[in-house]
Amino acid sequence: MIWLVVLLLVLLALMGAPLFAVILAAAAVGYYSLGIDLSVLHIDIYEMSNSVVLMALPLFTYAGFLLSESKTADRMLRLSQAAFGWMPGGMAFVALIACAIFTALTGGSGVTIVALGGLLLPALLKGSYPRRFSMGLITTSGSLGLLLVPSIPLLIYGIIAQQMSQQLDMPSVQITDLYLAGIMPALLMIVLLYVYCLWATRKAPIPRQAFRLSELRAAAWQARWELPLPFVVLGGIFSGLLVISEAAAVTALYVTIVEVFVYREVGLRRLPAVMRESMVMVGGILLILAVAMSFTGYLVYAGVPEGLFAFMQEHVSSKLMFLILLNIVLLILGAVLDIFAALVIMVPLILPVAIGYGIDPVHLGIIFVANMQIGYFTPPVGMNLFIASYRFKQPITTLYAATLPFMAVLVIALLLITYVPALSLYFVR
Amino acid sequence: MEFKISTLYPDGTAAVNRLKEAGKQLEKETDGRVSLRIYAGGTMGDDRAVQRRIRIGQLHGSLAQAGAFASSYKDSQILNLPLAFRSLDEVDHVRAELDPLIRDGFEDNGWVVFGPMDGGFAYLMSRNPVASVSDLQRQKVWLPAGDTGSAMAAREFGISPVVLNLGAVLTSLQTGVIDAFAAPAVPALTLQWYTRVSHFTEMPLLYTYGVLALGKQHVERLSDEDQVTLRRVLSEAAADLDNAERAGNRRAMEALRGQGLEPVEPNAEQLREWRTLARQATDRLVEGGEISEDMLARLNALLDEYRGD
Amino acid sequence: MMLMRGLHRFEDALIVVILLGMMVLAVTQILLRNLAGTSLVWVDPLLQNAVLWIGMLGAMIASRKDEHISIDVASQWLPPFLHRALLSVVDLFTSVICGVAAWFSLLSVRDEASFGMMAFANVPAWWLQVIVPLGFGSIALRYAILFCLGLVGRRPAPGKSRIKNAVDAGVRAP
Ligand code: NA
Ligand code: NA
Repeated sequence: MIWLVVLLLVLLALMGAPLFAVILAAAAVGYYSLGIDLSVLHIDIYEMSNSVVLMALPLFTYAGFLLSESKTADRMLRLSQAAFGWMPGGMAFVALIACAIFTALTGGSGVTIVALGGLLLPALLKGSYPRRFSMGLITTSGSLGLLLVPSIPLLIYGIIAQQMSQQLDMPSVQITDLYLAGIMPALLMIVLLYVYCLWATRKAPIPRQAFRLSELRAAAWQARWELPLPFVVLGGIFSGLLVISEAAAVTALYVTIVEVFVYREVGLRRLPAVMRESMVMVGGILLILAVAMSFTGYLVYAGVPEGLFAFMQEHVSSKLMFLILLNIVLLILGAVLDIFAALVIMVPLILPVAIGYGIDPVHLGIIFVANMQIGYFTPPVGMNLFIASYRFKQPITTLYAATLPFMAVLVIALLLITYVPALSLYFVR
Repeated sequence: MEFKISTLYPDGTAAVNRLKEAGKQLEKETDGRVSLRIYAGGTMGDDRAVQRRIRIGQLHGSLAQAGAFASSYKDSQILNLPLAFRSLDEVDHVRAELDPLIRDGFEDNGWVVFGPMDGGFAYLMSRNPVASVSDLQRQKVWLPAGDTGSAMAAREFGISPVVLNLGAVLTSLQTGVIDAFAAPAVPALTLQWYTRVSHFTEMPLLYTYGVLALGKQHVERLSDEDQVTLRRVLSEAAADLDNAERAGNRRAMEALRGQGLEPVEPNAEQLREWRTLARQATDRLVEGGEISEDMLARLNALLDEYRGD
Repeated sequence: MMLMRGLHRFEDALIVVILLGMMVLAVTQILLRNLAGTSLVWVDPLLQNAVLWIGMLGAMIASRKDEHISIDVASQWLPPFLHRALLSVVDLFTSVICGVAAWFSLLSVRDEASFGMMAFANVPAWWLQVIVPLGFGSIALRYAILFCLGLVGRRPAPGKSRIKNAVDAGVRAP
């Protein structure tokens, strides 16, 4: 009977039912089977008003929307070109850095390729990088930065883990710890990709751009209002003066003032629309988050995590084997599911089991998001592949071929991140 | 019947272990008819969520600070009045008389309650020495977010508090956003707050206590005989926990002194001012209907009796 | 129709006002705390509840054009007529499950009101909770409308997610 219901729900999900409705139904059926009054759904969902970090989600998302509405991408590209263009493989490095920062600030989801891709591709081609290489680089970099402050997927992982840390016996997960833990893995990815870029273009050396202090100064001056942003966020959070949600509020207000009143690139009359659009996306995520917490509540109430762990322990003998399994499952999920959906569905299921294998919840968060990041451009259905195919007006198969070598590089990074916990935990524990 | 009980205490703590032990005993004595299942570590949400869950029957009881249930029986706050007690001996004298009253009061309002269990005195702890009320007014005092009762008391003492969530207290002490707080010894020690302050005011600010409360409607589903067993076994557990927590708080207080926390003793005049303001705050509570005059009179009579006034 | 448009406007305005209010209140609180060494007691619980309101309102707005996150492999592999039939099943399912959630939330809120619990200060908890049954009720209603439109063959295609919108915008841009 229970399997029939599960099958039915999976079928509905594949038929395109909103994920929140599927999860809500799962929670309702679960509680109903235990004879619990379904008012419990409301109690669980209202728990959302108890989270102290959740506020960061709408505020950071709104700030990201606003940044991608204005010409921030142009300014950032000019600045990184002025700063790093002189290096060997300079333009490739610029692409990596610009994409990473832009993705971290705007929360991923393909905006980077759309906003920066149109600027980066011509610049790379003009720098005599091969076309296919350039497209692969941009498509791959489009999700780079998901491990950097104030990455929204990492924030969502933290929110779920904090919620779960009350439901399980495990060390509490601080969002700041997650951001700290993400630094080295993100740098590792950038460095490996950069090294690959140098190697891939070794036969036809790319002419270097001369470094000009005046250009750097001019670019920095142009971006002077946006330049302090990372420092406000990082400084506020890591000095302990601001908690995450407050850093988000400061960021949102600051970005509003800068883009609307200083740069004047988003009109005051356009602002409500930007707010509304960003909040519709946030609403979709928050609703999934709320019902997923209710479903988790049911699982914990029914004692499912203990049972699942006992089962895993019987069949998966070692931590190593568990991690290999985890990577495979997450890579597939990352390619098939929306990143937010993947997080809210999988974290509550995997976290308790991983804790059982002695994996640090902060490390798990990094593994999780690193997998999702690669899943963005894993053939055949990675979201960034479609976006790049639209953006560059190329057949999707061309993009498969273009991204594969980059993907191989990032899989190496992923393996290192997974099996060397110190990479993530060095600054944290 | 399996009584599902929620608590904020994490698994493995003395309180949770003792409850589990009581559960085993119950199961044995009732031939498996009554048992306990403990959801430890706040699994089921905060106090208010837990009470909602008890109302719909998802849970049946909760081990929590008495304040969590105060809205059901306001006079239970009689032991939490500011500066009401001067020593634990006074507390014990009063509790001997009032404990059964509090339990009965809860029972009349739908809760079968075991306890009170000692939570220790909350003390003022601060970076700068605080002896007088005006000393305190100069500090940046932390107040837990959403704690309306403390906010009211703070107003009476002329403090404009800084509101923070529990998780932000340690870093805020570090960055100087706050430099004073009031807490019992155990949380001050275990949450490491004591590392960021250097003084504590040797004046018991507030007595705190916890209870194990079961929804009466759920208890009444048992046979009379099983109810008697349940009450006996859980009363024993509560009495054990009362003693254990008392000892734990005493050890924690000694540890705090051992860590070099400097005691500050208000002089007679300063003490008089503290008490005058505390009395005003108490009067305000009575006026606001938070405590009945009748209950306050009982407390004062017991205190007078003890102090020999 | 007029009523619908009015409701849409109201939801849009409310969500914008709440977001603005969040920014302003949170920043005020930070300034007060760091410059004046004090804070407003009611701000934090209000902000936390604002998140719930934004979540429900955003979800309500997303339901108008069926913009919720979904997996949706069916539309890519099935012939259109079969896909439309499946959409009807899915709309009905979504409407029913949201209706159930709305009904039980309503009971729960009514319960909360009768017990008179306060969220903070003198604000009854149920005032803040009422958005949950309202939200699920309105989502249920919107999917019921989509279902009916589907029956007469006039259902709009599922809404575009943020990503597809971004792509379109990018493709349109020079
Ligand atoms: Na919880
Ligand atoms: Na969709």
